[in-house]
Amino acid sequence: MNAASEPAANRALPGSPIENAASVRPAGKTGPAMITVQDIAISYPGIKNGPAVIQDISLSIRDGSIVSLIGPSGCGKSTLLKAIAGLVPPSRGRMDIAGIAPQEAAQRRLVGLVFQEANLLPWKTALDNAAFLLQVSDKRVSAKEARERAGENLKLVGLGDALTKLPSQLSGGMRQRASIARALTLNPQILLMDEPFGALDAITREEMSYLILDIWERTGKTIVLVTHSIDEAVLLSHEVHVMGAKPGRIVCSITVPLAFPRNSQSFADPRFRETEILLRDRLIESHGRSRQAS
Amino acid sequence: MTDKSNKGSDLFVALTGMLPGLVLFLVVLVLWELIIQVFNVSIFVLPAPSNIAVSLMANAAALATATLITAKEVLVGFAFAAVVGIALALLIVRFRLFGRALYPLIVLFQTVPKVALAPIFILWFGYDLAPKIVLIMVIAFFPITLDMLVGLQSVEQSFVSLMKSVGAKENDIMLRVRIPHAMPHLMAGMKVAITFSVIGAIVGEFAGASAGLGYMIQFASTQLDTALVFAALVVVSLVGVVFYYAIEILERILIPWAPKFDAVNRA
Ligand SMILES: Nc1ncnc2c1ncn2[C@@H]1O[C@H](COP(=O)(O)OP(=O)(O)OP(=O)(O)O)[C@@H](O)[C@H]1O
Ligand SMILES: [Mg+2]
Repeated sequence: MNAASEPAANRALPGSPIENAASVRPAGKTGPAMITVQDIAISYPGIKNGPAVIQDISLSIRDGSIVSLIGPSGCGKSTLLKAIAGLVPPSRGRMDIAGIAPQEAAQRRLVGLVFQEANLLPWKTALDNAAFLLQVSDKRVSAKEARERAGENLKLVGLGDALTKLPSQLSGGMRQRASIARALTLNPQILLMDEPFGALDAITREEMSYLILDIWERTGKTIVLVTHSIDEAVLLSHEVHVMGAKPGRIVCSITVPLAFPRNSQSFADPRFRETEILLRDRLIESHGRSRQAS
Repeated sequence: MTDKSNKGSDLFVALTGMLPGLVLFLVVLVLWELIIQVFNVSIFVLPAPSNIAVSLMANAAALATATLITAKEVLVGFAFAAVVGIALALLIVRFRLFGRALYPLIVLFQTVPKVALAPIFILWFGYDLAPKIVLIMVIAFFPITLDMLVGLQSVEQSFVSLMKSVGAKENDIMLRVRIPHAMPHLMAGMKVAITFSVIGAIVGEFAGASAGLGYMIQFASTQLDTALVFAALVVVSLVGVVFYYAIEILERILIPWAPKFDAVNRA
């Protein structure tokens, strides 16, 4: 089955969440495929003849869409994200990012990464932290220009007043905003986020969700989000891929039938609840199956 | 609050922080003095604090000269230890294969009792500064290497991923992330190393010297001048303390961003 070449006829019918076990349907109202993953498998070196960590994964992520990966711990969500970022090569299969290999795409700064830990350098101010990766990755960009761009992005994420603060003077949420600004300063087409709000409290998490929606509306970037929160996945995504473990694979993909722009009102939409229940069922199923497998 | 008053209150906090230690110190001195007087202990066996004070005053000039010599040994030896210690850590991290080969040898060397090497260094390098510097170096480089290694290697793996994802080379990561990240660890290692350096200088002088505080201690004990032995010991300790706090001040200036470690209040 080739997900990428499937006709768009299967796109979401308005009104109900659509589920397609083990295959992927592109979400509506976004561009052509930005990320294509075909039948890849990944195993880490060092684990001799070990089973692949993820296997038979095919995905097509449209330009300008927000896609979430959700699934039990250890099912390979981070691994898949790292593969898209060009950090781990697949042992089988093909992937391309905007038509080129992931590693090349990373070198051209097509992808920006955000992790659970903000990973700010404690000796640099918020501004210098946000400018840091751009400066490292492109020596032609002057320090002044990098800082200017970093400053704009810090303002975009709501840290306009904290440019000169050190990470130790920022709250956890502010640190994570700074790390998002750092990714945006690379001006990537794709934002890859691995449990970016995992270390934050519930209220801050929700605020950060609105920040992501806001950034998406302003920039139209393709966003791939790994999360453990069903709420977050439904609120933010065009499409949610539920993964299962042993081996890590996509068990089903669900298109979220909610219109954009989304905001706190979206929770009140009955379809939100419907999608949430559907997702929860699939997630519990996949948990059960991977427990049997082990 | 203005900057000035802030500094003032900092100083106040620092001084009141030292108060308990000072009180305890005075209590010990008074008890010591009393015990010597009450039991009539011979000055050759254990001098009273007052005897030590008198000896300090009487030998002030000689002690000052000796202090300069020993302090110079400590400083130069420590500088060599720092350079060697840091260089080893950088090499081990930057060239992994070399590091895997070298590190076990360093650990092995660490188990050799360095004090036993002192006479050999005298034999090889003579009676002057050189053997002391070499001895201090071999005693003091290890904590620096070890702490520097911890600092260089403990950079968050996801941060390294972040750097690699934008095509940064290992040299970039080393220079711009690992080395600055290692600075607080390095400072901790240097604090251990400076106290080792003082010990190294004294041991080096015991093994063969014609000047310095260690030499004075040895000479005074052959003369049964126990008060002078203690007076010299007091000065040696002061030298160590001064160097230790010099590094702490350096730490505050060089890495103001690092979290301050309070050895007592955090426990
Ligand atoms: N560097 C590595 N070397 C070897 N095995 C690894 C490595 N990183 C991850 N793994 C293994 O790969 C599997 C998938 O890990 P991954 O981190 O991708 O899971 P995850 O879905 O992100 O889990 P979580 O939700 O806990 O973050 C796990 O079984 C893990 O033990
Ligand atoms: Mg993970």
